[in-house]
Amino acid sequence: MKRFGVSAFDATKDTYDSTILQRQSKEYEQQLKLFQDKLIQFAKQHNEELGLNHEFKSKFMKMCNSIGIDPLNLFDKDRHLFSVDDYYYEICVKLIQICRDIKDINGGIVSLDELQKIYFAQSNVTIEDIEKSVQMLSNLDGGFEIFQIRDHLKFLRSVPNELTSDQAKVLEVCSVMGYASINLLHINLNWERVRCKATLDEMIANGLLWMDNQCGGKEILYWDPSWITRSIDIQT
Amino acid sequence: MEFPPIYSFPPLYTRQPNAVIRNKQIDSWIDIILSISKQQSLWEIDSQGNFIQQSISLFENKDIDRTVSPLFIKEILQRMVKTQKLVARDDMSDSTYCILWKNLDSWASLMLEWFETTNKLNQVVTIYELTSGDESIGWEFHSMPDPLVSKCLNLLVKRGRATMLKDEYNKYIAIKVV
Amino acid sequence: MGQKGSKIKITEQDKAVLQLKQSKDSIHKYTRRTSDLISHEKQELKILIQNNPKNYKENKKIRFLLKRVHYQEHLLDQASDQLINLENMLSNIEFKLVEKQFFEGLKNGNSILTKLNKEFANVDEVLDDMQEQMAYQDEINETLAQHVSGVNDYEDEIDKELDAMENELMGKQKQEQEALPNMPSVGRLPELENTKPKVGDFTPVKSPANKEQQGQEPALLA
Repeated sequence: MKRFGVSAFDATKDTYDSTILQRQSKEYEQQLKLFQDKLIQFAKQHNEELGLNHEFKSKFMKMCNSIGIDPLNLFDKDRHLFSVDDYYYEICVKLIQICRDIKDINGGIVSLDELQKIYFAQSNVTIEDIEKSVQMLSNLDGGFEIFQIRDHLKFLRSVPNELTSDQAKVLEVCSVMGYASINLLHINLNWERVRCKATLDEMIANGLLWMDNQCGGKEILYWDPSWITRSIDIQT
Repeated sequence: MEFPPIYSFPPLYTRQPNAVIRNKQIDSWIDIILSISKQQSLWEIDSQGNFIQQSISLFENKDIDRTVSPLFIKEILQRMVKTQKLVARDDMSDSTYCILWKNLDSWASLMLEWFETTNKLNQVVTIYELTSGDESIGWEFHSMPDPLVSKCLNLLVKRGRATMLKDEYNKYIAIKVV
Repeated sequence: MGQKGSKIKITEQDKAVLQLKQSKDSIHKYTRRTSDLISHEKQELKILIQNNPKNYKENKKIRFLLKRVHYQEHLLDQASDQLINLENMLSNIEFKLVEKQFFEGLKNGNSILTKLNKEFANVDEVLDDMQEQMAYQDEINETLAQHVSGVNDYEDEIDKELDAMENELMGKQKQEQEALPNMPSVGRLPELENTKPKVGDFTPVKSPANKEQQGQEPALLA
């Protein structure tokens, strides 16, 4: 914006200010990155000591956390950094956090694909790692369970109520288009309309599906909330 | 404008029957409204969900051909009033709201900071100078409309830090902060 | 001009400053509007030239528009100058207010100083009195010091007398020792009588009386 009067002279000053600030923040960023790298290096070098001394370990982790290092980055599965179990414990904690955060949106059902791509994007956690962690979580009786639909799509269920086979079928249909509808189920699965409606209604009540009544005045569509993050994949 | 991914999720535009989901849905809408207002410096919205300064129809997504119903818009706005993200622009009617992507106290503190850093203490400063003058360019409250400014400045008066001056039409036009 | 029930006062100067600032604001609004107008007209001009690449110099509308832009720019310059004048004026006023405060401060300080100085009016009397008192104090100190020395003398005297007594006693013993083998002679008696009055002289003089006598003498002199 053009300025008049005495403050017209300030305009040039501002640009200098911002370039200096930019440079400074860039430098800080570099320094922080360097520090983070060094810390990770340190963790790898002194793996054994860290593993043996629990107090040392917890303090070290705390420090890493406070300057923004994801503990998962400190682990190296192949070189058995800390111990392998620690790595999976860390994933377990993350899983519980994520599932709690997104439970209200998706009713506690999330695909492993989504978990790995969206929520573990910063660390190189594989789907197998997640599966193994969920295995460990099952000891807790917290209701974490992996189930499969269409043979290859794996979902994590973090709420205790079991999916019926009908509901699983609906999710299967949703995984193709993002949504299901009474007609769609009727045609593809040969279900009675009443059965379609009952299943869909129950899934709405459980918070597994979102309703959409604006599809060109036609029938109601029932959307799978995992579609929200699927669009991220399309954009990127 | 940058929207979160949920903005392109078609069911977001239909009022959800499940109460838990609906709460989350309304929260998502509030997040979207506040973040867009902050991005675009939007200050006021009417009770139908239209922004006053700019013609952005947030509740209509042409890309996926979905629109939020007027009734649901009202519900969302009412929730925002309840959680103090909106405040009625005039005391008389609630047909127009000020959008508070920062709460009034924070705004008042930020303005106080401006008075302190630009050395405007102990002198009369017009509201025009505060929100449209060259010296407030780059401050978040630049271009803030007068009704909201008055609300923020009133807090400073209540804190005992300022006195407001009115013109002959009984409209606040200036403030003196000490 | 509204003044809410606040402790912060709006002075006449504040009102004057407000008027200045209001006119500054309206000029500011004007500059902003004019500068928008100019950029808009320039844009229009460019489009017109693009549309008539050949004879744009003869095009009356273009010439007129350019003149208008020039005129607006001239006005903008003027407004900008006025704005600077107003800003200068405002900062002058602000500085004068600071100066006024400075002057008030000086004035207050001065009046307090004179007030305080007035309280020093009978300073001579006080000083004289103080000198007297101090002299008196010195004298007291001196006499007290003499006292102490007197006491010391007294102790010495006692020591001396005690020594003398001891000598005497020792002498008597010696004499007795010497006399034992011999027969007591008559010459010993007067010697004994010689010492006796000495002891008698001393005993009636009591120590406190002695002190008093010595203490009173200098006081009387003063």
